[in-house]
Amino acid sequence: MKMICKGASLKRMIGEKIGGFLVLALLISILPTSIVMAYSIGDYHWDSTGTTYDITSLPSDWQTQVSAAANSWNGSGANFTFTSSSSSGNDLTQEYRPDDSCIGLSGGYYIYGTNHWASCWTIFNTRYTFSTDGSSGTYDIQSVAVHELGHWLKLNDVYFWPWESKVMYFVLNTGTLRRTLQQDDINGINAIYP
Amino acid sequence: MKKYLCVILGIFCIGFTSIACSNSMESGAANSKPTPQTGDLVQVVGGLLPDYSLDDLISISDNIVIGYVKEILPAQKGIRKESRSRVIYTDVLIEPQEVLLGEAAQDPIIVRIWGGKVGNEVDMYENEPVFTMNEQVLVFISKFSSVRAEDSDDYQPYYRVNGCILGKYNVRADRVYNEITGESFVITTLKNKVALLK
Repeated sequence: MKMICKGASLKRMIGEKIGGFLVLALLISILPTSIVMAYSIGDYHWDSTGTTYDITSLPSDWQTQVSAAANSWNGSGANFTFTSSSSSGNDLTQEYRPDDSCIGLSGGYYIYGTNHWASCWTIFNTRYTFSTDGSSGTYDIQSVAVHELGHWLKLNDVYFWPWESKVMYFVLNTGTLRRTLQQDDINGINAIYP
Repeated sequence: MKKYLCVILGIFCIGFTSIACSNSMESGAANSKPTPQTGDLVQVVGGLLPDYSLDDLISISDNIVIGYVKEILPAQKGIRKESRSRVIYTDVLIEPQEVLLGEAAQDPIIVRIWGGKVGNEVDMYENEPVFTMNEQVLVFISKFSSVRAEDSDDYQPYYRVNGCILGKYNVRADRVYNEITGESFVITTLKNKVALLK
């Protein structure tokens, strides 16, 4: 009787281990790739190894912050360089958009069926209050700019917790500095422009 | 062992449901997301959103409405009042069932989202909520009249979803779910918060 009990217990133990393994295997198999890689990239990108940007319509202290954001990406090790130029067609401007929830938004163009990305723009939405030091109740210009320039490079937003330290995280709080590229941001840009 | 079998079956059910849902989205259930064709000029717009909490969404919204997506109108070109810049937008008509905050001034409610396809021009906004025909939604909305149709002089009122993707939830029984953030809460909890905050 004792032997039977032991045998049943052993069987149950083996069964539980196999069950546990199956659950783990299934969980891994259904995890989408995007959860494993903490960055997301578009299907299209710049053909060149760099582009220019025009910040001349922005206040001078904002220009300094945007240039610092561009330099962050320039220092990522990727084969892509941002260069400031007043004759660039790629503008960063400010605009009042009362019916748009975005703090900053950026766009660019491509012809569907190709992967040639070109002609970008960014708007800082003056519906919100900005600052150059991320002081309480304001959005830090450099933190917004580094995110927006990430969109120029064709990095997409990332949405999942605990990715809020990454510059491509989709939301930002007031009074928060998020200026520094994280390893996943760097991996993402290097994947597009190796 | 039974416990594990239940978990495995549960995972299969979730996986099957999600695959079925994604297939239905791709294979025909009409939604507000534009579909470009080869040769179209596509503008892709991304952005950064404020980190709105539920309390924030309640406090900035004119209305909180539960309703059905009744119709998704063809996209139109529009002009912004403030900057005169152009925009492509799509109006989604929502039949209100229950108004949790404010009064539904429109029936159906016109919820305007940026993006759409007009001719061979396509605008795709990554942070705009996607609406599917007949889905039951809860939306945090505010009224604006800042964009007019290109072929009209009138700035007709429309509603915008506050926080873009943060302000749209799917309704299932007594709960609502945000597909992007995974946030979920019981509708009664929201009603209590609204009573407290407004």
